[in-house]
Amino acid sequence: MAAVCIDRLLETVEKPTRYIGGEYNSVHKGSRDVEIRFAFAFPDVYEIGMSHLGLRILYYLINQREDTWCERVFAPWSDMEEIMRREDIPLFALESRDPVKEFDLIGFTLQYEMSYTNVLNMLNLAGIPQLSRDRGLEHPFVIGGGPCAYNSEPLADFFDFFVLGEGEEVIGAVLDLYKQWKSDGKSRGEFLEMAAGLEGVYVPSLYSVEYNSNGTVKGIAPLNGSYPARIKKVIIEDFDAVYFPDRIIVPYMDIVHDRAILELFRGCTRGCRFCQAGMVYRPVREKKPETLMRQAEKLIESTGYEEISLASLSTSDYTQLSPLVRDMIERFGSQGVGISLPSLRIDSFSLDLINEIQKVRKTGLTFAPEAGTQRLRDVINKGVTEEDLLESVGNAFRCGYSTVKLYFMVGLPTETIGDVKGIKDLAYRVIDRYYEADKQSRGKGLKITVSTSCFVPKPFTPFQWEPQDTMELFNKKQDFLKQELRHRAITYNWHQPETSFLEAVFARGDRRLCKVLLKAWGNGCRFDGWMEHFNFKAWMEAFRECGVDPDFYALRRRDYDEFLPWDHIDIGVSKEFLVSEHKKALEGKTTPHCRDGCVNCGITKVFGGGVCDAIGQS
Amino acid sequence: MPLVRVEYEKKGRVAYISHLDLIRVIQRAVRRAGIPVEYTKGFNPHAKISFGPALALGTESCGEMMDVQLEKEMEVKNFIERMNASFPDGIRVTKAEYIPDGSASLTALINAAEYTVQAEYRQGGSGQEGRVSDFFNRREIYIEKTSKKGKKRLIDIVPMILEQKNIEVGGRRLSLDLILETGNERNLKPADLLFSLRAYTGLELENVRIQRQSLLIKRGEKYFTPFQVFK
Repeated sequence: MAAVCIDRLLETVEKPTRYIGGEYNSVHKGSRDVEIRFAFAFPDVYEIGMSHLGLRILYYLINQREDTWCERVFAPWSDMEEIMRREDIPLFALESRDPVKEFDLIGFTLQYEMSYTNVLNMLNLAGIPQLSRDRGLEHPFVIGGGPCAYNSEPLADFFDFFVLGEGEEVIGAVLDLYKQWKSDGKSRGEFLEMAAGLEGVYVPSLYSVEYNSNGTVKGIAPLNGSYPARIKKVIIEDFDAVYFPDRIIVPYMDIVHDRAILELFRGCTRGCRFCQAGMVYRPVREKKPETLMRQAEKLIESTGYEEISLASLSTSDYTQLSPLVRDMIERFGSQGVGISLPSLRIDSFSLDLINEIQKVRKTGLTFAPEAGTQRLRDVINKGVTEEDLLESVGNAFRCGYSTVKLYFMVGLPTETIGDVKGIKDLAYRVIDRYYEADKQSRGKGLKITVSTSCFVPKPFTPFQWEPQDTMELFNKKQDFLKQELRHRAITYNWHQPETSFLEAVFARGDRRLCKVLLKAWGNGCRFDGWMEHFNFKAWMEAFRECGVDPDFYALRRRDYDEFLPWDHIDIGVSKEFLVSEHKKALEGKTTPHCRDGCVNCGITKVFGGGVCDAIGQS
Repeated sequence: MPLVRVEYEKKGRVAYISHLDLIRVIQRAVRRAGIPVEYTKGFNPHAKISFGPALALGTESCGEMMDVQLEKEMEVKNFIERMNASFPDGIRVTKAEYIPDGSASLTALINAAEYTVQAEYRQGGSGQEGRVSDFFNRREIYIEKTSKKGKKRLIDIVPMILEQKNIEVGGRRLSLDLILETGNERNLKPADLLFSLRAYTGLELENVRIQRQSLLIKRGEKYFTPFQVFK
């Protein structure tokens, strides 16, 4: 393998540190000392991808193996892409600068639908055929993982296989199998057949899709009986003991989440009905505080980071959050290391905790009521009352805070214009609480940021059968809020519905979208999540040219008995549970928190009774 | 409070780290190294380190400078070892010495820098030697500078080329060793000089490699290093 030479070119691109590699704690091995070259690919720019916890974990996990060198590769920004195409420089890995085309495996993490064209673009820049069927023995295997792999049908033609569930558990088996296959000198197809036998591995080319005359999917079935009819995700059963790196790469540039991240627990006990992560990451599994403390110490020592973020899907649900935070402040406060708590829920918002954190570093306050009225919050099972929220906000104001962010969604199922107006009412009540707080104690200069995003129905959620609002309706609702939210303390941010529409198409799409994706890429689409690159017109042309109707995917209500393109994937949560949650949503009935009693989502039936911490502790 | 003056290299891939990013990289390296450095007070505490004049992106250096404020004194050898164990590849401390209390800052002291330039002409041919030496013998060389407010003005860079230590033109190769005026007040970047060299001589250069050799303090006609002069 000959490394690419990019030095002279770096002077002409924006943010050259995206491409130079060699950061502190990055792993360098001799290419002759390893048997497997693995490229961990994140289909977005460096500063986004480097913030991703999954990359940080898997990078070191794979590099623990002496026989494998795992390197990173990100999507080059458009200026770099232009130079690479002009100078004929293939996509290269950051550490060795070797072309990824010559690697053994490329693993893409699929975090959001709007990164799909970047996957195709990266394969093309690498000189790897985009369609899996066009690849030969000389090409790497292209693997996909991450949340979007749970419905990977719109990407089925491009990937050799997908890994469903927690990568820490599967990747070792995949690499062992690869080594065995390589030494046996078998064909590419034979590797895929062998891989299909691994738990949590889905090889789309070994499954065929049948369609009904009305255009819906009739079924997805294995080509023969030796492959599983349903592919079950894999999970880490003992999460406290799961591998966690004692170091992470310290980037040169300011990345999006430029701090040490600890994972308090996986899964979520809440059950918000719009939330895919809350379903697919079940069961809930916590790490012990002493484990987290030990991991924090190692990370701070090995990185020099000045901030530790305690991450999870709902950080305040960590059973021992308060003692953990106090211990960490005691341990790290004197070194100027701050603690941040993302994903704090407002109902269990602890004022003391916030005050403790503030002693070291002041962080902003973010609340996510998601819907403007109690009725709609009950529909989505966001177990938050207005009084909870207002009390928390009032407390925060009395502690000297004056900046609050409020996140909402528009277009949730059953939403009326009254619910939309509820967003305004809630924002104004927050303002009232500010003025009710004592003048001496509250901070100066009240600033409230209200943000609305457009609801995207996701697979494996109780709303997977729901139609999305039309773009016209989204615009109408957000225009209404633009009119209503006119207060000097309020800044209103809204979301362009076009990207949400495409997300809805691909989130619940099937294999017929592969050709649209390829066409859209051909029409120049990439970095679709970036406003400066998003080209909705090119997308709509791609749909037209392929004769595919996007509304069929985004705007159609599905029946319960329709076969969904992800019904052959088993995430452990049963379809019956999702149906019952959907029915309860339409009746405005809530489902309690898992710790108040098991809601029988089905996860313990699939993975055994002991795996869910919520049951163990309730 | 003990103050250490540090000379370090920035070579290879790390030449593409901007000055602002470099400050963060060094801040974190100091924390990793466990050096008893003095921190600023406030919500975002950071190590008290002050840097010499910024280096242009893509330029390597053998002689960058910074002053590090320590909480308590430590052995210089130990300081250097710990720093070097914590730096990413390409950044390396080459020298460190305690400097007297009340020493002037690096930015106040440094007013010159020695650079070497290696390059190749895109086209071969004759007469290059003469064209290059004519250029360096000019009485005035004007370049256009844009001020922070966006105003353009012409300035003569000849007085900013303090020394021509070596100018070699042989075959297709060009090799320069120059001392240029450097600092907040008046600053000549080698890239700007090469730009006007191209403009005046019509010679296209490629494979240009610029290295800053040292940061210097010019007093009268003499040059000193920041380890020799403190006021």
